[in-house]
Order: sequence, then C-alpha cells, then structure tokens
Amino acid sequence: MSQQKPVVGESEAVTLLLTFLSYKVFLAYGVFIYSEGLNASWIIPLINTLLGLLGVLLLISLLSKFPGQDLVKIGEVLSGPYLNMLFVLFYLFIFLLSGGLVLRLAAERMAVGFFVDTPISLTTFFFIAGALVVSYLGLEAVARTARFLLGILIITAMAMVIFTIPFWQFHALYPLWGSGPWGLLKGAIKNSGDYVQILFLGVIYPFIPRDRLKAIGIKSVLFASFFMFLYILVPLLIFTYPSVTELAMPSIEMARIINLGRFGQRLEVIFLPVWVFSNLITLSIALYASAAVFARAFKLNDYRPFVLSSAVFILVIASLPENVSQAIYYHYKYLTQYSLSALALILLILHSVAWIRGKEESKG
Amino acid sequence: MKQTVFLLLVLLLTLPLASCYDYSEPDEKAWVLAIGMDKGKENKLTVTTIIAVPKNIAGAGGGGEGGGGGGGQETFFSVSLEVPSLLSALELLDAVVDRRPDLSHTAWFVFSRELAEEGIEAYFAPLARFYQFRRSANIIICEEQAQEFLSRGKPILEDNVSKYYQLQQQAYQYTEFIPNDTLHQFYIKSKSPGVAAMAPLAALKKEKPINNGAPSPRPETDIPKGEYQAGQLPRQGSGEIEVMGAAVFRQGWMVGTLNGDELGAARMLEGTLKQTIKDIPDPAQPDTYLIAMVKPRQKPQIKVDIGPDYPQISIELKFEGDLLSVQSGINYEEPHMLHIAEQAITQSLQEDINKYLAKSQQLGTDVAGLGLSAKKNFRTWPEWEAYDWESKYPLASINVNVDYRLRRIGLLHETVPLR
Amino acid sequence: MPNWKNYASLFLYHRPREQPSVFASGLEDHISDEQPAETPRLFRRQKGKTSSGRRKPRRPRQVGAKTAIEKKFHLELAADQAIDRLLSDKTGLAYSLNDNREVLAKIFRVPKNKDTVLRSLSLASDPPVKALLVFIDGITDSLLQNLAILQPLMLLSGLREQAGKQNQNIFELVKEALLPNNQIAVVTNFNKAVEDILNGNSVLFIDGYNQALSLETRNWPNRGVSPPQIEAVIRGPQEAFTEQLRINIALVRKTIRQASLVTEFVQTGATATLQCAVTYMDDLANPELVQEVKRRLGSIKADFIQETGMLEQMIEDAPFYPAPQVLVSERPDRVAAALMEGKVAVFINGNPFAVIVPATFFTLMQSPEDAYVRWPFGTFTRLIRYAALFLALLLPAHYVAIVAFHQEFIPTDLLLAITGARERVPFPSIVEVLIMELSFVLLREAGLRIPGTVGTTLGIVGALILGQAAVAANIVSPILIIVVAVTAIGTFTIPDYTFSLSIRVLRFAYILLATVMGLLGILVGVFIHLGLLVSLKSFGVPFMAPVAPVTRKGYDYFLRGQVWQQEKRPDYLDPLKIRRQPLISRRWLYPHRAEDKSDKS
Repeated sequence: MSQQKPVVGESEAVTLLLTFLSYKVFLAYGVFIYSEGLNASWIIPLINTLLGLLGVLLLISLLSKFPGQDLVKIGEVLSGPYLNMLFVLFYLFIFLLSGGLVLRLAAERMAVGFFVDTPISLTTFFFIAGALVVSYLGLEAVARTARFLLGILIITAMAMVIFTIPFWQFHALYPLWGSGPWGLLKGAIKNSGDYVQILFLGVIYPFIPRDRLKAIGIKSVLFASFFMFLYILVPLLIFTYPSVTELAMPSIEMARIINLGRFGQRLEVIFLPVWVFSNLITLSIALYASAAVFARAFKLNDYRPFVLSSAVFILVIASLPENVSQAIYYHYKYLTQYSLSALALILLILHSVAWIRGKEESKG
Repeated sequence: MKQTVFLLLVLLLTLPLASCYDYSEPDEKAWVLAIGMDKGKENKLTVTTIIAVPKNIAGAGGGGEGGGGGGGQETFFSVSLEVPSLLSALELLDAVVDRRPDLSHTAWFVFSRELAEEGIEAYFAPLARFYQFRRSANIIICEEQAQEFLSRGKPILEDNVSKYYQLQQQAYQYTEFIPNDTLHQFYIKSKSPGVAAMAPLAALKKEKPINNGAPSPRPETDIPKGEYQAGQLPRQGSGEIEVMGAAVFRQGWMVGTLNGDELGAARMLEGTLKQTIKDIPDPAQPDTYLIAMVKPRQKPQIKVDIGPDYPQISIELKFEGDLLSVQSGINYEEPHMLHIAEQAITQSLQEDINKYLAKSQQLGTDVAGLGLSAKKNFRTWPEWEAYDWESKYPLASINVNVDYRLRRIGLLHETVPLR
Repeated sequence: MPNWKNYASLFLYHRPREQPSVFASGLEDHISDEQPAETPRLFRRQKGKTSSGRRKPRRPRQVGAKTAIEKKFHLELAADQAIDRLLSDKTGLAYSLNDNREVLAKIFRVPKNKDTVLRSLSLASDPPVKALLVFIDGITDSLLQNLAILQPLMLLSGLREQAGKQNQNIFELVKEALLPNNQIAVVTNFNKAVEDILNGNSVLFIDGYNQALSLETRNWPNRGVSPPQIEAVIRGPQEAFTEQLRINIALVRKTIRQASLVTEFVQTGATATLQCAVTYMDDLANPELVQEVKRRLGSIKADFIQETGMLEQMIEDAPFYPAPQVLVSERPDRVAAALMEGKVAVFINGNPFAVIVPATFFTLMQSPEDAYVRWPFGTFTRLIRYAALFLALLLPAHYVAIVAFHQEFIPTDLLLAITGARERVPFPSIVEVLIMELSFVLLREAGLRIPGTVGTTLGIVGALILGQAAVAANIVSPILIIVVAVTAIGTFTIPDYTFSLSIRVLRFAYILLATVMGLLGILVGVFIHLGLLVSLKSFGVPFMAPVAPVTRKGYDYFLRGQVWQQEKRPDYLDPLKIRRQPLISRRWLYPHRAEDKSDKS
C-alpha cells in the first residue's frame, strides 16, 4: 500500500497467471470439449497446451523487446494511438468478459447446489465485494493473497482428484482415438481460447522480474495446462464417455460423488473454499487488469479510480445472460472459441510493425 | 476516521437485513431417508418417503431429564402419496408434513419390481439432475410394493434407519450376493454401450417360514446357498428386509433377476468381488462339503476378438483363498492332496461362471461389462457404437479359464478322524 | 448530526498517501535495475558448447557478490568488521589513555550507546595521573564503585605524600595498596577488557600503562525479578521485566553479553515526556529500521504516554487493521532472541513490557518455548497453535454455517442427533451461538476484574451457567457447549495477548457473515481479511512475510526446524549480517570439513 510501484515476485506472478488461466476448471469446463473429443477428450487439453505455449512465446518475444513496458504502451509506440485503441478494446473485452462470466458462473454454481433459495444477486454481490476490496488494495495485495492461498488451492484441488480414485474406470479411455485425430485437432483449435488469459502477463510485465519473464510465462502455462488436463481426464474416468457430456459443471459432480464411507459422504462443502477462492482471485485479477488497462489507455498513473467502474462493467456483463445455459454458451462463444487467435493476430501485427521499424532504423 | 468506523458498523448491521434466504434450522426440516416408488393406483406413481423422527433417535441422552429412551417409539414414519412424478411428491409432502422435506440424506431409492419391469428411465432422470439427490445413494429393486417394503423395513440394531440402509448395502464388501452398484454405477452403466446395469434385489421376508405347517419333502440334492435370491430365503427371525441377488436392466427396463451365485459370477467377471465363501461338494465324498474362501488374485484378464460375425471372448480368472473346513476329514492339507481340493473349487467356480454367462446371454444383458474390454479393438468411438455390442453379445462364444490356489489352511494342518 | 460531506468524501477518490518504505523489498527475486536490460537470460544461449545433457545452473550467482544491503551499508559493515578483528586478534592495550578511550568508545558505540559509561578521573597524585573507569550502567553496583574505587583513588590515596619518590610504579601501587576490592585482575588486551566489562566488572585504565585493572563490581538483577505472568513457559528462564528501565536493559544484557548491544534513549511525548530506550544490536539491525523507530518515537507529540500499549498504538503503521503490528513481551530471553535476529526493542521507563518491532504474523504465533524444546514437539505445538487460531477465529461461524446452511454435509447420524437435541431449544442456532459467546466474553471480563478472594465463585457460577444449567433449561443444545468451549480454549492458545484480543472481536464478524451467507460469507470474509493482512506492513516489513510476499525462508517461520539448521536470520528484516551460524555448526560431527569451511562462512 505504501509503495507506489508494486513488486511481484516470480512465484507470485506464476500464481496469478495460473489461477487466472485455470479458473475455468472449477466452472462449466469441458462441456464443449467432451462433445468434440468424445471419450478421448483428454487429448484436447494436451494439444491446447502447445497452442497456449505458442501464444505465450509470441507475447514474451514482443514484451522482451520493450523491457519494463506493458502491452498497452508497446501497442501505442508501435501502432499509434488510434489502432492501439482497438487493441485496448480487445484487451478490455477479454478481461471484463472473463470477470463477468466468472462472476455469473460462480454465482450460478452457488445457486445450483448450495444457496438455492438465495437470490443470485446477493451471491453476486458477495463475490464482487470480496474481489473489489482486494483489487482496490493493489496488485501486490492480489498477488500475495493468491500466493498465500495457493497451497490450499492446490492441495484441495488435488484432494478432489485423489479421493475419486476408487471411481476411476480406465476402460473409459478406449477406443483410444475418440472422435478421430481430425476431430480432436478441430476440438483443440475450437477451445484454444482457454489460454487467452495469458494476456495478463502483458499487463503485469512492468512489475515482475524482467529476466524471469520467459520462465514465468512458460511455467504458468504448463501448470495451468496440468490442471486443465486433470479436470478433463478425471471426470472422463469417473463418469465415462456418454454420461460425462451431460454434466454442466463436472467439478461439482466430482466433489459430490466422493464417498469415504458412511461418515465421509456429501463432502462438496469441503471443496467450497477452493472454488470460492479460485473465483475470487480470478475476479480480483480481472478487476485489476481491466482497471489497469483503462488507466494506461487514458495515460493515468493510478488505476484505482477505475476499479469501481470495472466492477460495474463486470456486474453488467454478469447479468447479461438470461440463464445459466446462455452464460455457458457465451463463455464458449466469446472466450473459449477463437479469442486466442485474435490475440495472436494482434501480437503478430505488433511484431511485424516492430520488425519493419527495426529495418527502417537500421537503414537510416 | 470516525465516519469509516460508523459506516462499517452500519454495513455490518445491515448485513442481516439482507435476510438469510437459505438459513434454516435442522429441526425445521423433515429428513427423508428413503424414497420408494410404485405403480400408482389413482395416479401414475405412488411415492413413499421415509422420514426420520429425530427426537426419538437422539434418545434419552438429548432430553436431559431422561424422558424414556427408544422403547416402543417409532424412529421413522412413512408417507405415501399418489403423484404423477417423483418430485411432485416433494411438493405434496408440504401439505402432509409440517417440516420442509429435504432429500439430501436419502440413502435408498426403492423401485418396485412391477414398476421396474415397465421401465424406470423417466424416474431416475431427476436423480442425476436435482441437487438434493446424491449419486452415492443406492437404487434398490424390491419384489413387493415399495410402500410396504419400506414401511415394514424396521431396523432392529439401529435407531437410525439410514444407518441400517447403508450398512445393509455395504455388505457387498464381504459377500458375493449383494452388488456394489450405487446410483452412480447404475446411472453410467445404463448410459454406456457395452455394459448393462444391475441393482440390488431386495424383498420382504417370505410369508411362510420354514417349519410352519406340513414339512414339504426335502429335495434329493442339497440346494446350494447361492440358488436363493431375495424373497426366497428360508429363514426365521431378524428384520423384515432381505437383500440378495440383483435385478438386471436393459435400456432402462428390468428384464430379469440374478440369484446369488449368478451375481457372484458376474462380479467375479467384473472384477468387483472382494471376497466370498464357497461350499463345494467334496470330490471324494459328494455328500460332504469343502468350504473355502475365494478372493481374487488379480484383475480378470478378458480378451475379446471381434470376429467377422460374432465376438470371441476368452477370460482368465485367477483366485486364491483359504481352506475353511473339510467335513469329510480327508487330509487335503497335505501338499500332494491340495491340488485335488483346488481342482474341485476351480471346477465349481467355472460351473458358476458358465451358468451366469448362459443366463446373461439368454437375457441379452452384459452386466459383467465384457463389452468394455471389447472397446480396445476399435479406434474411434463412432466405430464402436456402430458395432452394436448389445446385439452381438448373446451370440458371442465365451471361453473361461479359472485358476484357484489354496494359500492357507486355517489353524489345522490335518484332521484326525472321530473314533 | 453527522457531517454528510465527510461521508460523501469516503466515496470520492483520494490520492494514495505515500509512505516512505523503509526497506528494499525483501522479495526472493529482486527486480534489480542494475541488471542488464537488453536480453533476458533465457534467450542467451551458450554458444560453442555442445549439449552434454548437463543442466546449466538456473541462476548463476557470482561468488562473493554483495547483496544490496551489503552495498548500501558498506561503511557500517567495515567498521563492524574492524571491531570484530580487533577483538578476535586480542590486540593489546595502548599506553596512551586517549587511544584506549577512543578504541573503547568505538567498541561500545559510545556516544550512541547510553549504557556504557566511560568515567574519566584523575588519581590523587602529584602530578595528577589521568585514569579511566569503564563499566556498564545497570549491571554494576554503583555504591561499591563510589566507595571502593572512586573514593580511594580520588581522595584517600595518599599518593601526594609519596610524591617525592621517583620511578614508582603507580599501577602496581594502585593494584596492591589502593583498591579495597575483593577481586582484581590485570587485563592486557581489549578482548579481555570488553569481556569483563560486559560481565559487570569495572575496568580501570591508567594513563601511561598498557595494562588495566578489572575490578569486581558486578551486580546483576536477580530474584526480586518476578516470574512472567503472561508468557509462562516450562523450560527457559523464569524472569520477567520489572518497572525499572535499567534493570530491564540489564536483564537483556545478561543474555546478550556483546559490546554491540546498544541502548539509546529517546524522549517521547510532549507534556510529560517519557524516557524510552531503543535497544538493538548495532552490527545486526538495519540502520534504517533503527532510524525509523527513533523517528517515530521522537516525533510523537502526545499529552501523556505511560504504557507500552499506548505507545504501540502511537507508532503502529495501520491502526485500523485487524492485527497488532508490534510484538509485546515481558520476557528478557524473547527480547534477546529478537534482537539477535536484527529486530529493535523499545522499553518504557516504569513499564514491565518491551515492544519488539517489526512483528510479522508468524512471530506473533510463536512462543519462546518452541525453541527450548526438541524440534518434534516444537513443531507439533506450533501446528496445534495454528489449528487453535483457526478454531478461535472460525469455529462458531462454521458451526452456524454448517448447521443452518449446509446440513447435507453433516453425517446423517450426527445430523439426527443435532436435530433431536435441538427439538426443545426455542432459539435459532445463531441466537444460541451469540448467547453463549457473549456470556463467555462476559465471564472472561468478570474473571479479570474480580478481586482474587472471590475468584473461585466465578468459576463455579460460570461452569454452572454456561454448562449444565443452560442445557438443562433448554436454552442451548449440548453440542453448542462443546463448540464454545473449544473456541475458548483455542483463543487462550494464541501466544500473543493483543493478537488473541483481535481474534475475539473478529470472531463475531465472521459469525455475522456466516449467518447471512453461510460458508460463502465466511470465505469472502477470509479473502478480504487476507487481502488486508498481506498489504499490511509493520515498520516497512510485510506482515505476512515470508509467505506473502515470498522471501527466502528459514526453518523457523511456520514449523520449527532443528536448531543447527537455523543458519540465517530472517531475510525480510534485511539485517547487516544474514548468517547466524556457519553451515556446519555441530563441528564435532564433521571435524575435518569444519576446518575447511569455517573461514568462508
């Protein structure tokens, strides 16, 4: 709070990106992957990892040309204020939409099994209030809170997997190729947007150790892909192919099925912390990121005036879908499907401008 | 700063005004522990709910002044309603029971056989979707009306009827006669090609106990214990409910039952059997028995060969176990005799399995999930679905190879004959 | 009538207030601006090197590279090293009294250090011979010094009468004939002199002699000092601070007999100024930390500060945050341990507590005894203590959340038992919890204020009301009694008194949150709470260090490692010397290796 320029260490940066990338595994994740990859859907996240790595490397190579500057500023230097405004709108779109849909889906998950009689607006209010306070406190607060909770998150997320081992049925993996290689590839490309949140690395780049940029990017993508893979594979092993496609939120059903004898049943409440904390961190990140992008787009030093307005945006987006199915479809359509390609396109444009400029300079 | 504190206080105090929508005391809810479904007389369904009476269960300890514990007090009561669907009963219960019914602790879903034979697909659809139901609950098929079955099924050892339900079902861990399929397994098996669903079969005590009235002539040969299934056990005493054998389903319709031995064989093939006790006629003196424990030594090895017309399945099963009793007094414990006993047990196991296979092929239901091993022969899922295992299974030729080893001989290493 | 403009201003934007940050952030991975910014290291490939499959070290460290701290304070460090060398080389005393005085002033950090007294005197001889008496105030007996040292030397020596005699060795004379001390020893080097001074002796230097006399004057405070009341331990010293500032400092000095232990006095307050002693290790504590503590203490303009609790509230960073930011202790050994880590302790005259800054969450949860028992039990008690913290803060809230919102989570048997027990209780669960919690708070407060003679009555009344009668009268369900009891026990397990008080209050906030939104309310509360805690700083040190932000961790922040594993001081304090003990501290285990490594570390 006292420091003007926040400092985010390597492990904290990795934690932020990891949570921001993998928030989806606790929400309506896999709904569209299972229908693409059938019983071999676990291959899709593996292919996706490669796509995500490509994306993050593209971002890193651009950032490392401009040490200590964030993506908004780089865009302005390279493409001028007007074209950059388009890019900024895209960044905002990603952050606000991620935030809004996380908020909506997290609240829906609460409404579906835990707080059935509570109006969803109250649940939403609780989520946004928590995220608002922490993101207002600053990037350091978000990063450190996330880092503090990381242990709980990972242990609980792994416990959810480990306790379901008695239910794993490995015959579910056969026939090995599911919908066939082409089907899998198509499914991977259609779901590549799962990694679009690496964009956040471009926002926090000024605050992380510069020489660890590449390590941070790659580590976070790999860790996130591990959890994405796990949370596709495990429901597949538990619920087997045709019935796994029915589940709206596989992670809830995973928790509900855990059975440790007569005393240890109906344990999903134990896994509430991992869901709530993961979503709260994601929301805080989305709030901070969109406020920071706003601030930089308007060339202001302080992001804080925008936190509240970002929260309003996110609340509006969260209340846009009329029902939960629509929220799930919006998430798929606007975030999961092609957003990574759009990001890659922007990065390629910036790269090529940088390349042309560099050539001109070397000539002149 | 005074303002901040004031505002914080006001915010904290307004929190309760947000009204606690989901706040509910446990003593304002009616805890439903089991649900039964029958074909309705007036309406489509008769739904029976078993609701706990906590004040009688908590017993003397809770009251403080010791207002009489247990005794004749009922620990649960049943309500039967004629309704068009399962969840409409939840609504109608409000009219009958003062407390709000809550289904999240339901342990048993009981379908009457009559209903199951007409198909239960429509009824278990809400079981997966509605948040109060759990996939860790059990589906039970009872021979009689579920209404009668549940309301007469009073536990003797427990006050809490839910504990009774769960412990009764947990017996799958030490017997072969009860399937370990919960709603979860039942559900995914019903929806997967290559395996058929089964559910525990239960019934009320046989009307006519053994020694009642004129003794019917005892049959020439002994009836093996696994020939029975629920509702047929010759017994006296204990509670009204018995659970043994399985009901077999094809596409949501109950098509038949498996008796104890058949179910045991199916579980051996499925690889879910933990342990069981077999009694086998002594090879030397067929009127006496060898009794042995059977435990799986490794997972069943099932190889399916997709032939041009029908699949060829070869199964290798490996068991081990202890010798529990030798009635004839022949010293099978001696190393050179041991293989005779082993062979007898192997043969008996093989016969059981063959009997099951014949029956399941005849019913056309692959409850042991042999088709799941056939999946490996296909490259993609559409190919596998196109193969249509359900139609091929009855024609499959199946070759079973059982291997049983006696590992321990109990506390005796030989038997001295009676003099 | 409140001023509504003030309320409105709360929602308006304020420019963030800049506070000077005391430290270069102690993050594990510094952002170093000095580093070459062109190409990140991972892009650089070692050319001409075939891939031998060997992993290259992740972050090559230059050997002998100085840390940021070492660079910043290289002058101080050089002075400290010079002093250390002087002592370890057993440098002999000088002939000139002035030289000796200068060296001793350096060693004892005079005039910074107000404990060490360098008393100049002239021997009553003709011509007068200059002499110097060095001792530490508080651990010496001043009456003895006056009567048995100063008086004979200055007044009664009779040296003037013997003035005529030439070539007389005054030193021998003083030693043999003039000092009526029971023990006397000749000291020839600084090391021995300093050691004796720290042990409570007074050392007399006489001009013109490279020898000094060490005189027995020690007067350690001992019994009379009472055992600790609040921080009781089984193992470890049974001494607590008293109301006497000098005695308190002497008690610390008894544990740390080092010349670099410095006591400075700062006047605090305006109307009735109060003497505060700032104590620290001059060769360990970060000078900026010391400066900051003195700045805060010196700048306080208050009417009247008489207690450490008031002082604490005056100097803490964020008064509105739900955690204490200083550690208050009554134990000399605890203060000594903190000083040896590089922290700073503040004493107030007339107060039996010391304020240790900076405090972090993990130090607040530690008890001095953790270090005195063997590690398995030390670790276990710490784990228990964290569990107790969780129970004290969140158990009643969880009870409300689970009983009223998440009944499906309760095992059926237990649920039916709870339901059955609640059948006759007329209140909702939340009211039950509040009744019990409030009556417990009441009982605690009454127990504190009650005169000792009637104290036992309270126990009986409390046990009856809270326990049996409430259940018998069907006011509360018996399960709740267990919950409240466990919560109370958990609260008392928290070692820091101030911290446990804040936990008590926060508990009610969590109960309220749980009433509204069940577990979700609790979790959102925890999230905000954590967000506040991680952005909290105590004298520039992040409160949640070393976990958030991540800094290099020792073996003593969460669990307690072996004593010989604790080789480094906490990184987040940025002490002048990071290493506490060499890599091999148990040299009897590795007699050969110890010799190689000893000089490096």
